[in-house]
Amino acid sequence: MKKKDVIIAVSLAIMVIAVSSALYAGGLFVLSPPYKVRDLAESFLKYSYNPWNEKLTTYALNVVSAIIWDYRGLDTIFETAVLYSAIIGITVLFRGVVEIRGLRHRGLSLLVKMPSRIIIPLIIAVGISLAVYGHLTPGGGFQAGAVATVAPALIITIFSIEALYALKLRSRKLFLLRTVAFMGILVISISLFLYSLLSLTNAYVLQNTMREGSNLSMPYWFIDIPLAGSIFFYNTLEFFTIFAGLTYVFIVYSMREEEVENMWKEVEAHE
Amino acid sequence: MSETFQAILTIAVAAFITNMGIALYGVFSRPSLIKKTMSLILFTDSINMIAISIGFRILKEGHPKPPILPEIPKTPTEVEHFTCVSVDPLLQALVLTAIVIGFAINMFIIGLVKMYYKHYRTTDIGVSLEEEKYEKNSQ
Repeated sequence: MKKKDVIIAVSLAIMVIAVSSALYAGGLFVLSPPYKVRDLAESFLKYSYNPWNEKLTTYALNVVSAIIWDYRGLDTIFETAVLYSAIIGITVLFRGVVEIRGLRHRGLSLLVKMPSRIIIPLIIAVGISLAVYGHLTPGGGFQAGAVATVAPALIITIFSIEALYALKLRSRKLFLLRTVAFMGILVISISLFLYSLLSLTNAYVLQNTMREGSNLSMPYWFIDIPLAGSIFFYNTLEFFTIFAGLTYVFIVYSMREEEVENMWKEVEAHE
Repeated sequence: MSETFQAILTIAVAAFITNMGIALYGVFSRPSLIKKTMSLILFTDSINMIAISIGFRILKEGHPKPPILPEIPKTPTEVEHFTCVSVDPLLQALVLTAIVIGFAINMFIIGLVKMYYKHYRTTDIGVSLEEEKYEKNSQ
């Protein structure tokens, strides 16, 4: 066992030196950053918010959001599907876990509990603002969901999982919310296409604003701020999918012994 | 200006590659499954940092800006100016996708580690191998 460790360490050191020298010689990518961005990136930067070119713009000030939900939207929908399937895998792995209320719990001391009562609503507010302004400021659906999930994680560690049950956040409900929000993303991605079928015009799947050969568009302006068409709806729904999915995983992972007791019986019954 | 940036970037990328080596060492030779998972996360993050650093740019004067318009542009020249100072947004978007998928995989791996712990009452990978040997010998 000792000899194997030494061999692994030495070979990894050789790998590090080899990759570094290949990089220094300019083999992988050039280390000195360029003065100009690549042509593809330049076109994204130019047309992300460009009302003077209606056929290519998305009306989003945040270019990363525009790429994620408009120019490369199919990528992101499949990425959400991957996260969804990971959560389904966890559900299958932990089948037979039942939620029991009213077990003995104490949580951390009062010194921790009082400040976190103030902090937890603030965290959720920050998460919602990141989602709603995801197309105008740094942020987006996934980041917002990940930030907001810190709140249930804090509740579980500080107050115990019983407090989360008392807030009516049960795992079945969260799974349903996640599925509904994911279906909402899919429905919005084909909504313009369905509308075009009814009104006998042309439109594409995942279309946001006007494109070549189609004059239909999602609402891209709300009173005095840009709404960026479907990007706003995608960000909001993605917030719900990520928040519900990650909170569900937290609840499943923080189960207690009494809740797991039935798991092995269930697993044996299935096998 | 550009030489300073180049030196900093060289040091940073060398650090990320060293990080990758350390993380691979953790994946290969630590016995604990928790340590292996942590090393895998470190490995993914180092690669993501290298990918983001490819999208960096330098300017003749001043510093590059993040790819977000600070306010709603009134004229096309403002958009042109923004194009001249912003960094590459495409790699940031790709890395965001990579982070989410890595996150999903890590979540599932942690679930598997928890099941392993429930079964063997330890996260040491050697224990299950010994148990298999014991079962073979007893048959």
